[in-house]
Amino acid sequence: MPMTQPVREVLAALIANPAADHHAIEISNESGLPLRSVYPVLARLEALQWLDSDWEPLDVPGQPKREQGWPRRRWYRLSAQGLAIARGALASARANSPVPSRWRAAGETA
Amino acid sequence: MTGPQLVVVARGMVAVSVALLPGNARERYREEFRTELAELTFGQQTVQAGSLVVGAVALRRALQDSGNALEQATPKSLRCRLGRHRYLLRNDDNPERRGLPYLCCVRCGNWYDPPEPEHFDIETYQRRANRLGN
Repeated sequence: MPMTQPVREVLAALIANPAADHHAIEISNESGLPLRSVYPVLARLEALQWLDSDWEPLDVPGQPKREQGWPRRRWYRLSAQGLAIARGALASARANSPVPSRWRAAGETA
Repeated sequence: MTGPQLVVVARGMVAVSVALLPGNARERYREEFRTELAELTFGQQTVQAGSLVVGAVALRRALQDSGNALEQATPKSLRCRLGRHRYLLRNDDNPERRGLPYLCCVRCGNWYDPPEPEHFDIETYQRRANRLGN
């Protein structure tokens, strides 16, 4: 499946720790993308069911902010199906991406 | 309740960005934007809230077209079209790249062509790319 660079960056950030819950700000920091680019990608991945997302429970032990009445955050995680597809898609995108000209062997084309 | 503290400007920008979204998604994103921004410093809140306003139209389109191809996830950045890329260092295990890190634009995927491997100096490489690209 063809993907834009922001989609690849978001998937790479999620795949780096697939079992963990990711928040939008963390994904933004890890991918280097601003939030304005992260949210549309997350919305589309969620619609494709590559992502699971839900609100954090309020009664998480060791989360003092929640105990102080902070609202819950929303987490995102790759679904089992999404993880498999995303790994394949990223590997495919990497294999098809052009190699910088100076790293190509003599006579090799992009 | 102490709750998350948002600066007034950020709160206003969250309201604007949420108002641009489809009605059935507003409540979710209002809460999500507020809680995410509350994790940031006041200065960062304003910057990121501004970013959300700019991206609200793209998010609206994503929510309305959900399920469409991923290549529509973000519009082509005007800055990238003007050659003002945002390069970040990336590592790749592709043997063709000889294990060297490379600079790639996170918005459009454009490469910043690296120097010869034998003269590879990551600091110089990154400095030059940022001067030219950002």
